[in-house]
Amino acid sequence: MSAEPTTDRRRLRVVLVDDHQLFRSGVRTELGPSVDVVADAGTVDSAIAAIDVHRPDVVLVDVHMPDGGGAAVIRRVHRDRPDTRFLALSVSDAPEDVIATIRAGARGYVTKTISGPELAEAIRRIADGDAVFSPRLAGFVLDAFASGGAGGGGGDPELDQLTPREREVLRLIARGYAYKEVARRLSLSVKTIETHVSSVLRKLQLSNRHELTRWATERKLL
Amino acid sequence: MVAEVEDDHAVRVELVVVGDAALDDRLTALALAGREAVLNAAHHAGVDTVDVYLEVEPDQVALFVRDRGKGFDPNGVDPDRRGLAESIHGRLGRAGGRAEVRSSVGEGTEVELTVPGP
Repeated sequence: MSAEPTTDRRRLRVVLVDDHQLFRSGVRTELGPSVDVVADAGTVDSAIAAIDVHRPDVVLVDVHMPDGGGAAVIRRVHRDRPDTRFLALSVSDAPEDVIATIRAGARGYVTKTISGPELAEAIRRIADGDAVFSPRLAGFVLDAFASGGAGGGGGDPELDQLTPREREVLRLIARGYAYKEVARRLSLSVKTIETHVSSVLRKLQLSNRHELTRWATERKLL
Repeated sequence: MVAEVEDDHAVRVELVVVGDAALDDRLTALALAGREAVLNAAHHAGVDTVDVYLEVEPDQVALFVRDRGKGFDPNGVDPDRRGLAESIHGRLGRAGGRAEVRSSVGEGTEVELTVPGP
């Protein structure tokens, strides 16, 4: 019964996309030996070419880049390779950009203040098909889904609301709790926490809730 | 306020805010108490990052200050923590709020501060 996720025992192959060379080399160093950065790229076009050649387990992608950013890379890669997994990694970005990157298909968002080991763990989670929510993303989602009632616009009501348990999990993540700590606090397994977070990711990507867009646009003014 | 604490104490503050409210006396008290909690973490926890989460709810505004540092035994009397009594408990008490501290040695500390809703 010692079955572990298949990705656990080998080095994960990662392509790193960011328009700052210095940042890319910093991430390489920080990630250390547990992750193999097979290529890096500084533009949308070179990122797409690198992903095509290397077929990485996970693509780390910057939200903001001069020529369209992470969302452009994700959309174009997913056209041909819908299985490619993306983790958005960025400085404190505007919520509308972060939400757009997630809705384009990224499975998580972490800020650049993350430590090397935490980033390596986040990459592993993404490779395993889970979702990765930083405190900031959890806060964005709570805020965007905050107004009560259904989303309107003829969307699926199930997709337009968070369950009380999902809210509880997101609140703890927003407070800086790691998944393991959330699990302990709520007396649930880490697997269950991952399931809740993946379900929130799904809602975030598929909901037609018009508040999502309105909220993100309003926040731009701040 | 966050930037000032970061500059003065070489600690990174990850701030997440949910909801919005006009700053009144109660929220000012909450913000100042929160500042004390962040300073405490910067001074005592031995960490380079502090997570701050502020949530505006209909009936209350809650502010959480969390670090993954040394932590302490809440049952032990720590004279250093006397600052907490007046600058946090006192200030919040006068605003009708309350403060709760959760900590254990090696597990970090979380301070939960609340005041009644806006």
